[in-house]
Parts: sequence; structure tokens; C-alpha cells
Amino acid sequence: MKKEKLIEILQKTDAPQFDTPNARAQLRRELLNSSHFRTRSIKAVLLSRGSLASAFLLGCIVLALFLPGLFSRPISAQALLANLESGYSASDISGKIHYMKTLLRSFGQHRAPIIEERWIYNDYAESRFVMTGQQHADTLGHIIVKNGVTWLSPNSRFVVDIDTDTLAESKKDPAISSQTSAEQNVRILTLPFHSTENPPQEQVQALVLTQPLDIHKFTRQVPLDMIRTLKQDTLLRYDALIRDKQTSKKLAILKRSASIPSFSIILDSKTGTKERVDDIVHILSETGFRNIDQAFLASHPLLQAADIDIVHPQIVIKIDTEENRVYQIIQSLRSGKEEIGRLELTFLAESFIDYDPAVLDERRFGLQRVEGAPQLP
Amino acid sequence: MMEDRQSTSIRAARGARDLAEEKALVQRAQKDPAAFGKLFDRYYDDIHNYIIHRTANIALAQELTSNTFYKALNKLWMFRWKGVPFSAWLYRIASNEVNGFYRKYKQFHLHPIEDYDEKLIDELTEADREILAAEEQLANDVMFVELHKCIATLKPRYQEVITLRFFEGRKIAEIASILGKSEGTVKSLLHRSIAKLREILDKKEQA
Repeated sequence: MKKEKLIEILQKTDAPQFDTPNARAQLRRELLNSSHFRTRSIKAVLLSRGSLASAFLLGCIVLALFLPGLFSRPISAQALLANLESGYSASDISGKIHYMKTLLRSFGQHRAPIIEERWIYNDYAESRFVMTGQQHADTLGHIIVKNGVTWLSPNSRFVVDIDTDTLAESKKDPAISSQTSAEQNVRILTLPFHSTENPPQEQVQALVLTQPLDIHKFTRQVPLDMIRTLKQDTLLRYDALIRDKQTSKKLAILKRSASIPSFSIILDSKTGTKERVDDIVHILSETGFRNIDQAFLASHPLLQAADIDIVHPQIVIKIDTEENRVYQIIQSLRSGKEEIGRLELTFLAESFIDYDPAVLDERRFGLQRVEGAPQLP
Repeated sequence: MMEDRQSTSIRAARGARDLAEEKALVQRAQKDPAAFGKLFDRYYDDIHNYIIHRTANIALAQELTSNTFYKALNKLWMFRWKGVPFSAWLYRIASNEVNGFYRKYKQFHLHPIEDYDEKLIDELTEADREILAAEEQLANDVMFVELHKCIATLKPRYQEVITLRFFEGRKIAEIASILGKSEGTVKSLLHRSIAKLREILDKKEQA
């Protein structure tokens, strides 16, 4: 490309302009009310009668808000999950098509939110999936799987990965892979790493997740299967009961935090990535992944040479207590106080409809038969 | 010719008057919230948009814009008037915030999001909705996003000059005062950054 052409492109690219009056007003208020401008002495504020009365009133309001919450606090995560399981199991689904609509949002990986609709009949003997972009409502994929045979829309962004026999994004970076070691109780997720070095280095980021719970597979499961998986999990704890003001839902919050840290490793992707990650995981696992700090990482030549950071994954399950349904599942990854990534799965709708062959008819939607059959879920 | 000279001198006089007025405002802003509020209103959009153009991430830009203005407020007493617009000082703080963020988090390709615990409990505010709308607007601007992906692979000093010159529409002299460099250095930086960007785009095309 000629220099002049590039300059022309840069000049013609209208950088988008954003106007966020509410965010601006919020920050303005915070700045102008900050301690920088507080000139009244703390003593004067504390001793003013008006402030004492306000503090008393505020205290009463806080108590009034929290006391009902305390009394209605559920017993445990297990009790909530058992209650959910019995609720889902009570639905008579024989001869019905199970319809679900979910929203999948992934922050921090330049992926647009996806709305997925699923029609599942007879424990996935017949199933149909329609993926659309949340923002543009473009159909990203339309798939029907019946008795091991798959039909896809011609321009589907999703394909059947014949090697793994699963549904995969056709634009997915080939470097994304995962492996699980039951022996060490870790899940290793390898992602492409967008280097800021110049020239860009070919690097990958390996996330070594200790005490893992794979919520990615939840995107292919029905809520009842998820709940049965969650019931086996000993790290899940009841956290709070809240009223979500946006949806007005009364939500019970379950949280899952690993008791030991997880790790992010940046590696050269040119050679032997898997072997190097395995070697590093082996060294880290010798301590049971405990008591690992920067001094420990600097003490071993192999760890010293690698770019390793300690990270903390957390999973949050939000349960709609009035509908007795799972509302949202969130996986968050933190480094120190910063949240560096998040995956959100929100259940938008669920119903059971009478069996209608037209709902699962590939010819009606102009789908084409493809080789391979994804294992669902 | 005479008229040209007159209009040039009028512009210069107006510029000097604006700078003198801004100097007085900055001095008052050190103690007076109302004066600081005026400065904030004047420059928030410019700084916010500059950070979005550097990061292509609305939530992150929100956080870094907030950091920029907090730092500006806390360091205002250190600000010495040298005839350079206050905005140049703000841009420099904003640039340092963005560069510092990428230095600190270079090991991750993921970006921090809003505070997680607060988000779980609080409802979506009007400000949250604005941010979501802005994220959508940004995602729709495919040409900018694609170009940004290439620019983001350059060294921070190259990213700064390209963003200021082409996305913020700043003149060379303005960029020089923002970066604290001579105009000659800025021209040379701009030349090198365009050459580097060309290499990246060529490689991308070949691939």
C-alpha cells in the first residue's frame, strides 16, 4: 500500500464520536463532591444536629431494608439447588418440544453478544439451534440435528468440527483449545494472545484454572442438567438475596470461588507450547497450587523465564426465586482488584410446546446436509 | 492582504484572550468547584473520545477518563501556566493513563470491565445504558474498529501521534505541546508511525 493511500484512508476514517451525558454528569458530581473540595471540618459536620438526625434516619432505613432480607435468607446453596431441581423435574415434557432462548455475552474478547434459540425434542434426538446477533439480529447460524444427521444454513458462522464432533465457530481462532487434567484437577485453556509488542510476537495465553467448573458446556445444556452438575460442586456458596431493579426479579445469588489460585501464562507460540505449559503446571502442582507468590515464581528457573500471573476465577449463579428458575450464570476472571474477563449466560425465555414436525423441518428453512454430527449437549 | 493581516491579528488577540481567561479559570479551579466544573464541561468530551479512540473499549475508556480527571484535580496545584492550553495537559495525563494501562496489563488480551460486585447488585442506570449504546455504536463502526486493531499493535508513542493527528484532528503544533516534544520530532514520529502501520497493513493484506 502506498503511503499516500494510507494517509487518505486515515483522513477519511471518521472516528466515532460519543456523547454520554449521564456518565459525564455522574463523574462531574463525584469530582465536585470529592474530598478535594471539602472545606468544612469533619468535627463541624459530625456535631451538627442536622447531620445526626440524618444519620439516625439513614440507620433506620438501612435496618428496615436489611432485616426482612435476613429473616427470609435461604438455608444453603444445596437447598436452593434441590428446590430448583424439583421445580424443573416437575415439568411434564413427554411428547413436548423444549424451547429455550438465551443470551451469551463475552466481555473482553471482541465478540458480539449472541442470542440463541433452541428447540429440543426427546433428549436431543431432534434439535434445532438459531443463533442471531443481539445488536443486528443477523442470523449467524441455523442448525438442525436429527438422529445424528446435521443440516446447516449455507452462510452459517457455525460448523461441525469433525475432529471433535462438536459445534464450533467457523471463524474461531485455531489456537483456542482446552484440556483437562483430572489428576491435577486443572483445566488449561489456551487462547491467542494479542501482543502489544512491535513487531507483534506470536504468543498464546494459557489459563490454568484450578478446581475448574466448565461453564462453557452449560451453553449446550438444559437447566436441569446444569443444576445436577452444580449440586455436585462443593465450592458453591449461597451469598445474598437481592431485588434486581431492572427486571424487578427477586434473585438468590450463589457464588463459587476456588480456594487456591489459578494462573495466566504468556508463551511463545512457535514451538512446544503444550509441553511447556505441562512442565509449568507440573511444577506448580507440586505444592498443590498453594502458597504460590511472586517469590515462589522467581525461585524456579522455568517459572522465572515464563510470564506468569496469579488470577482468580469466580462463578455467580442468579436464581429467580419467584419463578424458581435459573436466571443468569456469570464467569468472571480477576487479577488483583481488576476484573479482566467475563462470560455471561442469561436465560431469556423457556417453554414447552406441543410437538410439531414443521418446527424441526430442515427443508422448510432451506438448510443443507453436512458431514459429521455434533454431540449435543 | 491588509484584511488578511487584520484577521490574523484579530485571531491572535482572541487566542491570547482565551488563554488568559483559561489561566484565570485554572487558578480558580484549584479551590472553587464551580470553576473546575467549567473546565470539566469544556474538555470531558474531547478527553473521553480520545481515550475511546486509543482503546476502542467503552467501559475501559470510562474508567480511564475518570482516572484522568481525578488525577487532574489532585495535581492541579502542580500545574504551572506556560502558555500551553490546559487541554494539552489533560491529553498528556490521558495518554499516560492509556499507556500505563497497557504496560500494566500487557500480559492479558482481556480488558477490565466495570466493578463486578456493584454490577451484580445495582440496577442498570441511565449511565450504564448509555455505555451499552456507545458499545453498540462502536461495534457498528467496522472501518474504525478494523483500523484500530492494526494501530493498537504499534508502540504507544506511534499510537499517540496517529490518534491525535487523524482521529482527533490536532495540528502538529498542538500534538507537540500535548506530547511535550518539538514539532520536528512530532513530524518524524508521525512519518515513522505511518511507515510502521503500512507494514502491518501490507502483511495483513498478504495474509
